[in-house]
Amino acid sequence: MRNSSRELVIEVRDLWFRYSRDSPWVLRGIDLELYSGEIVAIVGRNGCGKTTLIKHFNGLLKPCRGIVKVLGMDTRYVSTSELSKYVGIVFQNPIYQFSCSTVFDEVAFALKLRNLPSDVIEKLVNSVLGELGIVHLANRCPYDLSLGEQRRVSIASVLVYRPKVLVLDEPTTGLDYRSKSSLLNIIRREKERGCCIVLVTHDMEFLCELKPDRVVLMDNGKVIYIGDPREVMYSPELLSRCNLVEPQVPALSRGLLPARPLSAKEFLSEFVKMRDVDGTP
Amino acid sequence: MVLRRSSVTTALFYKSRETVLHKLNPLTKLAVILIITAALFNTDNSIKLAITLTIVLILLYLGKVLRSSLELITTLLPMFILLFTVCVLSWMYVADKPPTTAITIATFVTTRLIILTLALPILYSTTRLSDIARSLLLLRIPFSVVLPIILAYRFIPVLLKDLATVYESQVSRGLSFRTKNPVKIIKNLVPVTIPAVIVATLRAIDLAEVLALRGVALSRVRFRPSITHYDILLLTAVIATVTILLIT
Repeated sequence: MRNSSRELVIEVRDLWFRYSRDSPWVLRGIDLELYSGEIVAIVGRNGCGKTTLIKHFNGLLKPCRGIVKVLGMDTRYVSTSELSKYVGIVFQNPIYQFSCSTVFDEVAFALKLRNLPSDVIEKLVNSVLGELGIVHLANRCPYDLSLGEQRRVSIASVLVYRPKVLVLDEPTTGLDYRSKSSLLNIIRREKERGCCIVLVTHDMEFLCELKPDRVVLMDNGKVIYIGDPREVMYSPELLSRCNLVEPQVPALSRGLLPARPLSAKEFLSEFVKMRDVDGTP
Repeated sequence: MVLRRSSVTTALFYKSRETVLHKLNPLTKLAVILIITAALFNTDNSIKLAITLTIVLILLYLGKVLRSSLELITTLLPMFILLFTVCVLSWMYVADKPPTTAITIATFVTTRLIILTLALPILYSTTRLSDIARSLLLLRIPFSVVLPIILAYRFIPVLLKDLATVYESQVSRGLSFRTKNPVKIIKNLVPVTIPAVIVATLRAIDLAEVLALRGVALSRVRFRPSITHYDILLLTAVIATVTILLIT
């Protein structure tokens, strides 16, 4: 009912996948639905199949069994270049995609592949560079930038063609506090626009700040939980099963507060409320 | 374009099995490959080539690596076709030979390379990398030569994985190789090649730094400190001081 007003963008039904006939199954019967305008975090231990799953969203990998549909299109019968119009993936390491000598050209890369007129390209690129606050980097070489700036360039190069789904693979790796805050703002703005954001991460503190709509917990190629992030963050058993560390705010709040805050701001607000009720100074 | 990295890595890397070939001395296998190479490049007779190929196939079968080795050839087929075409064209237009002669020569060249590629897994798929390194050192090949060979060999799967990641990143942004226009394919290869080369270079720089930190790059040639007057002066002073301290 919650998703009735939202568009179903990705539908995964009983997805099974393995890299070769001799290798073990990496994904075992995944069922998942992703809707527009929501933030979904996929978390789990290393090698549990998170990246393999997201590579199915734009047809980089095709299911061995089951179906993956993007806006109703079966990925088995549509090319990745066609699906890339709707699903943009930002990979973990930005330098793997930089092939142009300036940030402007790098961001314009996908638009040039779509044969758009140069004035439209210029307008779209300048717009996205402005939104991400990297206009001043337009003439710099992407390889000369800091990791945070490189990450913003790689996100810009995907956002420039306005995909319906934005997939971020481990976006916080190696980022400092300021870059993470900037990333948070970008994600929130895209959500407001109606874009579906899929986030693959181990960074539970970042997730607590972001407060995604749903968390998909994976273990050994299976989805073991889909739902409210608070349920996951306040369940040490679930987290330890997936080799994840309990975030600081939930760890502090458990047993101390009746509510279940995720961020430090929420914690403070709940704490003040409780203090006012108790009357303790 | 499908990047079949698995078949390359499967064929060229060690597979633990209990076979006669696995139990052989690595130097024997190395000698076998050298003999096969010498035989291949000293014959223009198709029957002799066929016999060499049969020997190679039997050895691969004995080592239970025949299937993966044949998969390697299938993967590298475009490269062999390219070689054949270049050979035919160069013999026809550069060396001015008739087409039949050019095709015969190109067939021999390509067949030799295919047999040689098939022969390599006789050593690589049945011998541990450490054993290959030890064997090369036994042959009195200097460590400074063996190390780069082993590193280069170890880097094949790493670089293939990097290449696959670059390819996936660009395809995810809309790059397509589903075209029959060769000019467009070559043009589309540029955005894959540039990051791949840069990533490989960055990896090489990192590796060089790690090796230098561990003292591998230090050699007598590069680091030969000379003894100066200051050294002698300091040593004399220290020895004198210690002697005085010990005596008094």
